[in-house]
Amino acid sequence: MNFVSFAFYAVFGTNILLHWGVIPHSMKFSFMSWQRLLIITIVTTLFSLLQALFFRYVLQPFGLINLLPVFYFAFFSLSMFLYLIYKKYIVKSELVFMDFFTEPVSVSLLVYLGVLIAGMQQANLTQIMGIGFFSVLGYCAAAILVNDIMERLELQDIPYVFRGYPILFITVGLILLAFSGLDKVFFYGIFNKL
Amino acid sequence: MNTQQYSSVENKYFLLFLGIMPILIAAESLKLGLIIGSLYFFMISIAVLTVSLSRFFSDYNFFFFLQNFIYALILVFVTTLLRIISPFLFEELHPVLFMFAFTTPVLTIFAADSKQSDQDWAWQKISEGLLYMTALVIIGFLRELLGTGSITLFKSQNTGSESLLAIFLQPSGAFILIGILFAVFKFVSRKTKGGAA
Repeated sequence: MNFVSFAFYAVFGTNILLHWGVIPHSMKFSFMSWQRLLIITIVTTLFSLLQALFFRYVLQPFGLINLLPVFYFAFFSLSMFLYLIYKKYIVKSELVFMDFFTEPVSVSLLVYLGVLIAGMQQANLTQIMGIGFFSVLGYCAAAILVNDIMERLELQDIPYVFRGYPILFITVGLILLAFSGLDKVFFYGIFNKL
Repeated sequence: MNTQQYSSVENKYFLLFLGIMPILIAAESLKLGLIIGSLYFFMISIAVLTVSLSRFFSDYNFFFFLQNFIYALILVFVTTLLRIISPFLFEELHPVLFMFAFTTPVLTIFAADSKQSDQDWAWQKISEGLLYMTALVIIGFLRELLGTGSITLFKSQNTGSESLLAIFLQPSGAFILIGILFAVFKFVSRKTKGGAA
């Protein structure tokens, strides 16, 4: 598998939206600036490697898979802690902590889910790092797409009962359908050597 | 998306739906809906119990981490118990059960969204948890019924790869179904309000 094929698979096939159904609440470009996106992807990549090492060399050989939730908690807490440090000492801005949609929790969950997605794959360590990296990028692409579609839909005359969240869920469902279709077409192409 | 345009009631339901979306997606059959729904209800009850203890902690940030650590330990206990009782069921369900590690921070925040001094607060949250558990079971039931055309829980043997509308067994189908259910709910509540007025 060459790099482009791998990136394509990682963006569409291991997308956080596709696997976890985490709907992007707000993914305006101001929220996800290049600097922040870069940091999140790097942290996710490193954590993916760490998780793969820990899972393969500690949890699996000793039959301790049951302890995974504690390990996931450690990842969530560590990524949240790192983001709080980033906000406090690099960006130097104030935070409202206890809100799911404020940045620390949602960004930590994004990192955490990227790590989970990477950890589910049967791949070598380099590929796992790549999947961690591209899954975050894929999620951001999907989030920007959803956000853009919803903004356009606000201008359309859709029935009252479908306005708001019903149309959001249906839109995300259709995007997921397209993503899973692309994923399947890609595998079909590989195995049939199109 | 500009969420300011939606009512606070709708927002409240949306917040929790967003948080439990991974487990809603995993509930692709009645059996899974029942198992996941029961575990969800168990976890939300513990979330309510632990959040009510938060008044004893001056630093809520520390409490938030401590609480999530406790959830992780409970999840370890539940999965270990399941592994001992039924290793086959554990092998089948452990990826779904580990999803609760993701939902616990969400449940914590959901449980902490109200005044903790209210007398009826805990019961209200637990009854809401029961409501969402029912929603999980209903969604699992509908997805299996629409996806396969039958319910395996009531059958003595699984007959194999039957499919009716296979899209409903996929994550995309779950989203579309939930969107339609939201629309039906909105329609019914609008009609009810119209009838009452």
